[in-house]
Amino acid sequence: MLLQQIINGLASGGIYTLVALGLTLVYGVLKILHIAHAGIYALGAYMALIAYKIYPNIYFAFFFAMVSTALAGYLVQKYLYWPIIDQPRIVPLIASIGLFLALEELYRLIWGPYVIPFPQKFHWKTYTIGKIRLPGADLFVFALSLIFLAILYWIVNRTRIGLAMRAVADDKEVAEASGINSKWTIALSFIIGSALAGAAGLMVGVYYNSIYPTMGDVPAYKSLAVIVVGGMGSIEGTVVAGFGLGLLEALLLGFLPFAFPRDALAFIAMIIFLLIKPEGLFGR
Amino acid sequence: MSTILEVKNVKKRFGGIEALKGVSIALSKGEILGLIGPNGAGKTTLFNCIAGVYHPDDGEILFKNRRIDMLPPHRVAELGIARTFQIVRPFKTLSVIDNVLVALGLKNYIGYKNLFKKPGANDFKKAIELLKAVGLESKKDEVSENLSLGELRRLEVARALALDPEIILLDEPYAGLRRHEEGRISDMIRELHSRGLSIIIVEHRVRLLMELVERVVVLDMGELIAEGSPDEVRNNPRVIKAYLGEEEVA
Amino acid sequence: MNYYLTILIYIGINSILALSLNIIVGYAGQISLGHAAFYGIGAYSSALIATKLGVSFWVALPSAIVITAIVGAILGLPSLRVSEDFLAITTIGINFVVQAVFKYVKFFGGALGVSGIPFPSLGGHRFSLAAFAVMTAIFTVISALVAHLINTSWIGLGLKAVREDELAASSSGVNVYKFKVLAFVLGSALAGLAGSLYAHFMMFITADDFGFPLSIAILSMIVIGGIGTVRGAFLGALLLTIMPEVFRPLSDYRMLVYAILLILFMRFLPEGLIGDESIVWKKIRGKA
Repeated sequence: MLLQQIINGLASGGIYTLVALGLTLVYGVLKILHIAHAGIYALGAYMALIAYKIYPNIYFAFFFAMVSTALAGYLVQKYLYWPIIDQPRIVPLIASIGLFLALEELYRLIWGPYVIPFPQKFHWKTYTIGKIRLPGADLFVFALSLIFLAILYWIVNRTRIGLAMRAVADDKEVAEASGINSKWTIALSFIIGSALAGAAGLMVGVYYNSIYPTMGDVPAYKSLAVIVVGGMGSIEGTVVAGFGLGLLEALLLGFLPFAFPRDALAFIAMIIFLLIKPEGLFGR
Repeated sequence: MSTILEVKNVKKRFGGIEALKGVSIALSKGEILGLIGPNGAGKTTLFNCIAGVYHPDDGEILFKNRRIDMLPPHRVAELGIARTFQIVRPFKTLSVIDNVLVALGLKNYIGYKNLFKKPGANDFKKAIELLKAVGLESKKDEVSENLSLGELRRLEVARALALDPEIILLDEPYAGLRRHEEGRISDMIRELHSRGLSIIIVEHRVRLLMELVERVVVLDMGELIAEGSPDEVRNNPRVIKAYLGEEEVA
Repeated sequence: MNYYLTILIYIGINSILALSLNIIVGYAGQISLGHAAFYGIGAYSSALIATKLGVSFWVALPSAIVITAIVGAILGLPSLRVSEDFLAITTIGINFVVQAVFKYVKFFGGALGVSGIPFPSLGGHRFSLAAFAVMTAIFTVISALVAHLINTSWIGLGLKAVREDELAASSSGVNVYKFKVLAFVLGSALAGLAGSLYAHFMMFITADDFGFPLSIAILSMIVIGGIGTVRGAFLGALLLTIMPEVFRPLSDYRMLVYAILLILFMRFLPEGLIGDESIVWKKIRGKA
C-alpha cells in the first residue's frame, strides 16, 4: 500500500517537475513569471488530438506535441516578452495572464468546453512483485519523466548551451561580456521549457484519459508553488520540490484519516515558505 | 579636531568571501578623507556598512559616539549621514526638483502627522537653492532620466545635501565623467568642505583626490594597508604593489 | 433610464476600485494581484454588519472601510517584507484564501452568500436609483480627491521614491517598509468603500464576485488607462465597465477579445491610453 502511494506520488511529482521546470528556466533567464506556461502545457495535450488525425501513433504524438509547444514557446518570447522586457514588471505579468486566458478561450472555442478522451486507449498492466502491485500507468509517467529529466540534466550540465543558460541566469551582463548570445540562450530556455510542458500535458492527457480547456489551471498554481518552495530559478530546487509535492500529496491522501483536499497542499506549502523562507529551498 | 565617525574593526563577509577583514578608520569633524584602493578592495562595502545598507558581522560603527551599525539606511540618513552611489540612482520618472524634495521631506516621514501635508513654499525655495548650488536650477522641471551622467551625479549630491547632513559619503563621484566635467565636481566638493561638512570620498583614481583631501586611507582586499597624506601614500611601496596591474596610480 | 443609471453606478464603483489599486501599484509600485480580496472584505463586512447587527448603511459603510483597512494592515505587514515577484504570488494567494473563506466558512454564508442587504435609506425613505447614483458619484469624487491628495503630498513623494528605487529612497530618509504598508492600507480602505457600495447596491453577494479574474480586471483598468494617474484610473474603469456591454454582440468570443486586448495593450501601449508616458496623452498635450 505504501509503495503504491509512493509510485503514484512519483508519477504526479514527475508531471509537476516537468511543468515547473519550464517556469524555472524562463524565470532564471528573464525574471518573468510566465503564467501562460500552463497554457502551453495544455497545448501539448490538444496537439495530440491533431497528431492522431495525421498519424495515429503515440510516438509521433509526442514528437508532434513537443515540437508544437516548443515552437509556441519560441513565438511567445520573441513576439510578446522580448519587446516589453524593459517595461515595469507588471506589464509582462499582465501580458502573460492575458495570454493564458486567450489560450484557454481558444481551446474552448476550437475544441469545445467538454472533456475529450485521449484519442488512443491504453491498457495499463499492473505489475505484481510479491505482494506489491505497481500500476503500469504510474510507472510509465514516472519513467518518462525521468528520461526527460535526464536529457535536461545532460543539456544543462554537459553542453555549452546549458552552460550558457546557467550563465545568463546567473548574471546576464557578465554572460554577454563573455561572448554569450543572450537572445539565443533565452529563446532556447523557452523552447526547452515549453517542449517539456507539452510532453507533460500529453502524458496527463494519456494518464487521465481527458483533455479539457481549463486543464492548465491547477498546474498553473501548483507549478508556482513548486518554484516558490524550490527556489525561483533553481533547477535542483524545482526537481526536489516537484517530486516532494507529488509524494507528499499522495502520502497524505493515502494516510490521513479525514478527507483532505489534495490540491490545497501545494497552496499551504507555498504560504508556509513565503512566510518563513521566501527564497525557497535552493534559492539565492 | 574631534572624531565624528569611527569605524572600529568592522568585518563583513558574503558567503565565502571576506569583503572586510577588520577595518578601523576615524573621521574628524570637518575633514575630507580619501578612501582609495584597487577594485574589489571593499570600499563600497565599507560605505554600505556605514550607511546602514549592510550590517557588519563584527565590529562597531560610531557616529558622534553613538552606535549606528545596526540601523537601517533611513535612520542613518535621519541622524545626519548622507551618501551618493557608485552607479547613480536617480528617481527616474520624477523631475529634478522632485528628486531633491524627496530628501527634503526627511523630517515629515517620521511619524504620521505630516504625511498628508504638501511641500510648501519654503520647501521649494530650499530645493531650488540646493539645485543652484550644484548648477542644476535651470533643469528643475526636467524628468531626471533625461539628464547626462555628470548632471545626475550633481543631482545626487543635491539630494544628499537636502538631508542637511553632517557627513557625506561620496562613492566614486568622478566615475564615467569626462575631463571637463571633473573640475565641476572638484569645485563642488571644495564648496561642501568649506561649509563644514565632513566628507569621505571613495575614488580609485588617486590623481583626482590629490588636491582635495588632507588624508588618505588605503584599502586592499578588505584590509587597511596604509594611511597618511596623499604624498606619503602614493609613494608607499605596499600601495604601489596593490595597484600594480591597475590603470593609473598617479 | 434605469439601465444607464446602473451603468453609471458600476462605473463609479469601478473607478473607486481602480483609484484604490492605483495607490498600491501606481504610486508605490508594488505588484498586487489580489485586490478583489479587499473589495470582497469591504463588501462582506458591510453586508454582515448591516444584516446581522441590523444597523443602517450609514454605519455599515464606514465600519467596512475601517475593517478592510485593518485587514489590509494585517495581511500587508508580512507580505510586504518579501520582494516583488513573491509579492505577486502572495497577493494571488491572499485572493484565493479570502475567497475560499467566504465560500466555505458558514459565518459568511457559504455558497449561498449574503442576501437581504439593505439598500441605503434616509429618514425612512429608501433611496431611489438616481439617489444612489448621485451618492456613488459623490464618493467617487471624494476618492479622486483622496488620491490626488496622496499624490501631491509628502507621502506621495515617498511612495513614488519607493517605486523608483528602494535603496535610493531609503538612503534619502524614506522608511521603505512603512510606506509600502501605508500604501497597502490606504488602497485596501478605498477598496473597502467600493465593496460596501457594491454590497448595498446588489443587495446580494457571493464569494464568486471577488475572484482572481476581477483582480486582473482592476489591474487592467489602471494599466490600460495609464498607470499612476487619476485620469487613467477613471478612463480604465469606464472602458472596462462598458466593455461587457459593448461586446455583448460578440457573445461567446467576449473573453477571447478581452484577453487579446490585454495582450495587445501590454505589448504595444503599456503606458496606457492617457498615462504620463503615453504617446496618446502626449499628443493630446501637444508635445510628442
